[in-house]
Amino acid sequence: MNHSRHSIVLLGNQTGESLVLARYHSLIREFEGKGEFLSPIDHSDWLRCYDRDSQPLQARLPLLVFRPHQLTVISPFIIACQTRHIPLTTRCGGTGLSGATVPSQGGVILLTGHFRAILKEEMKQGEVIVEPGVTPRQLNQRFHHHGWYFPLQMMTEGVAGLAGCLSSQAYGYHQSAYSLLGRFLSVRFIDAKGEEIEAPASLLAGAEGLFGVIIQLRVKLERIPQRRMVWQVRLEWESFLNHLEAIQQLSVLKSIVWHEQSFFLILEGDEWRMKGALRHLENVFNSLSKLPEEWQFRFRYPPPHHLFILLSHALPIKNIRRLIASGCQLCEQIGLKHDMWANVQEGSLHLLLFSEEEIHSFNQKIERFLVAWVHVLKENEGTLISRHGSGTLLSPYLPPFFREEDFYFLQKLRQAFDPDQLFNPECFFPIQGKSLERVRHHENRD
Amino acid sequence: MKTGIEKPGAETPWSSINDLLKGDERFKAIYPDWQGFIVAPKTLSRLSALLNVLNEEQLDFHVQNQYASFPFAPIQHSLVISLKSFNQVRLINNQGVEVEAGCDLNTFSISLFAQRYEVGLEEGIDGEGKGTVGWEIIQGMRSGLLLRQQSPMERLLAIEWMNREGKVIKLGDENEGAHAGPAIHRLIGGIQTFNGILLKAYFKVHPLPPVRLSLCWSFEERKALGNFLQQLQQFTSSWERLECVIPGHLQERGLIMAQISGVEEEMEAFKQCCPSFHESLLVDKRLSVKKFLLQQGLFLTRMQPEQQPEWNTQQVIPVGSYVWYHVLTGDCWLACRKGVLTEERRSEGECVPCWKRRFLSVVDSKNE
Repeated sequence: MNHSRHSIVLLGNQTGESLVLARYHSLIREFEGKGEFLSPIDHSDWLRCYDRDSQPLQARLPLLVFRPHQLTVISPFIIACQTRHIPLTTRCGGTGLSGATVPSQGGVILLTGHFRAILKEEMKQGEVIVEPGVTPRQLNQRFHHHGWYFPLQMMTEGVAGLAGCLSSQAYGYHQSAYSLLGRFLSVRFIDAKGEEIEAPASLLAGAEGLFGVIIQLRVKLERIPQRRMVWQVRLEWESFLNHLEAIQQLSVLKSIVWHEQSFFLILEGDEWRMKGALRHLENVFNSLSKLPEEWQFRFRYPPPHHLFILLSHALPIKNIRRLIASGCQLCEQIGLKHDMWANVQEGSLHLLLFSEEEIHSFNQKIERFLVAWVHVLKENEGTLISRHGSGTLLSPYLPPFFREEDFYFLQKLRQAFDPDQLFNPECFFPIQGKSLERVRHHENRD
Repeated sequence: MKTGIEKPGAETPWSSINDLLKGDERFKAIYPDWQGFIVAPKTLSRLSALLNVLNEEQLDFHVQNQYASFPFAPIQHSLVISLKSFNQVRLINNQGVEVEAGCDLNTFSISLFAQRYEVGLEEGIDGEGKGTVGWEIIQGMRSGLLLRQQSPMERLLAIEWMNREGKVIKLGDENEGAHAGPAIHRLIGGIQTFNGILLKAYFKVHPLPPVRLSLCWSFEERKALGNFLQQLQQFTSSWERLECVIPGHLQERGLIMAQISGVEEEMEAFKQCCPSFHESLLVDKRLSVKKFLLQQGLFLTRMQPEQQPEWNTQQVIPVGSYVWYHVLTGDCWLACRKGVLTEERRSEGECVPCWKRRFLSVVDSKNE
């Protein structure tokens, strides 16, 4: 089947091309043979796979999806989209939770998750150079026997590309207190002018694709710890917080996860440290339950036929308990089911909100929740985003957490790499005109 | 460092500045290599107003993000803005610390120690004891401790800085778990040239460990030192510091200096397991080694990666010189007589990476 010919037919007829759609036709013609296109008429079922990421609320069918054969095609493709004023959204694994890969109005999706080559290995230092679609599981399977691993365990570790993980500041199963940023040394990316740039990873970390398309990453693996232990402590919050300073002295303490009245202490490190660490814990807590070494706090999907979103917030540890109580109360008021867990080591709370209602009602409830929740977060010195990015889902709620000057600077920085807002124009920066007041106005009107 | 005089109460040639700033915020500076005026506003509003005045008068100026006093040359500007009044330290929620950029590293450490916390930020071994937090951040904080296997840069949570129009911009968040948008605060760390005025930094803090051990081993042979260093690296990745000093003269002894910490129970286990623990001196020799080198009339110069000798392969080090190598960070200094090592200075604009050029152009741009 000649995809290009059918795609052109679908977007308009051959004799009288729509001026609006002519640019999409010419894009397909220009890149025929250099990749594969999916378009609405030929592949409407397949196209649905690319209208959203792992969250259900933000979705839009793209006008085209392009899967280049080579990374070298990406630069000319970007230039071609730039010339035609076609917005571009990069999609790696598509497993994000914030709508960052939802295409823009009239936009095209550029796929990079199929680029999964490990280009170079430097095992002495544990450094590798990889293509954007390489997954954490791929790295772990390849380098485990060398004693190295990539410290990001999550449900989607076999699908999520590292470029997407970096762009959205993925976090995994909360078994680590430390940001992943230290694992990424540098990146190569293509900006909106088609220029290939090498930069520190911190420029692209959390940038949600705003500055360009990542084509290569230099990654630092971590040594597999000699030993891992997980201990469960059942205590009330206040009692646990009284002991926090004593246990934070342990350098092998990698994470403290709270869930359902239990605290899970995850320790990793040298064998010789572990015995001492265990004696120290036994002195601090009256009773500890040992869990299997390989235990992880896994993401719990809601029951079938439930829609869900995941929110992650950062806040001072001392306020987590109060925020949990407020969250429970608000969910009850609005009629949302929820699950919550917290990382007590760094100070973050994660809420899984779900419901078996249909999408429109669920969407309305989530909007009502978020409008009220923003104020609760502010009262508890919290921030809206801890992990997973803001995408299109949470960008309208960002303004209370950023000052105007801060947004302005980030906008100008984006312009330095993407002057015409080609990439993800609807991500991160709040759309002008959509404010909390406007959302609340609609709520009152309803 | 060349010493000079800074006289307060100076009347600058610019009446608008004299009207804006108080007498104890204006200094006439007389140094061997430079004479001019130093202005040191004490509040953020006066700093912002000062920048507006300087913009209106179209006056060029230099921002002193460096030492508490004033050594730098060459300087083309006759006016320098100093942040020496911005030196406060404030603990936040027992998780983080807010420190103003003009605070010197010693004061910063002492303030945290007093409250039983640390950040592990240190001056390089070639420092002269007057580095400020702002200067260290811009230079990349390469010399600090690795606490919990994290470098000081990884403990930087946020920064606040003022652009040339007097607007304050914050990048990052003091909540450790906050990660919205690009991590630009990390970009500014190590940027080395920065036309904004760094005001504050937020770091994650760690409680002081109950037990901290400093160890020192000496070796007659370079090969034995190299082998033992590898052994120590394989033993644990939780060293906070691991350095070696290699003499150029083959008859002199080389040193390995290490630091590690933990709770009492862990450190008891360490003493049982650490290779050659009982042959080590339990003392921090860094300062005495530095003092020895300076007394020999040697200068400590940071080496670029391409200049570093492969001392562990018996490559020749100049006789009378010493290599001081930080194993954990890859930093290296050569202690030698002047003239043995020429420091190549990059001229401005040469070899500046593209991302940095664009980033600095945004820092310099005006609000429209």
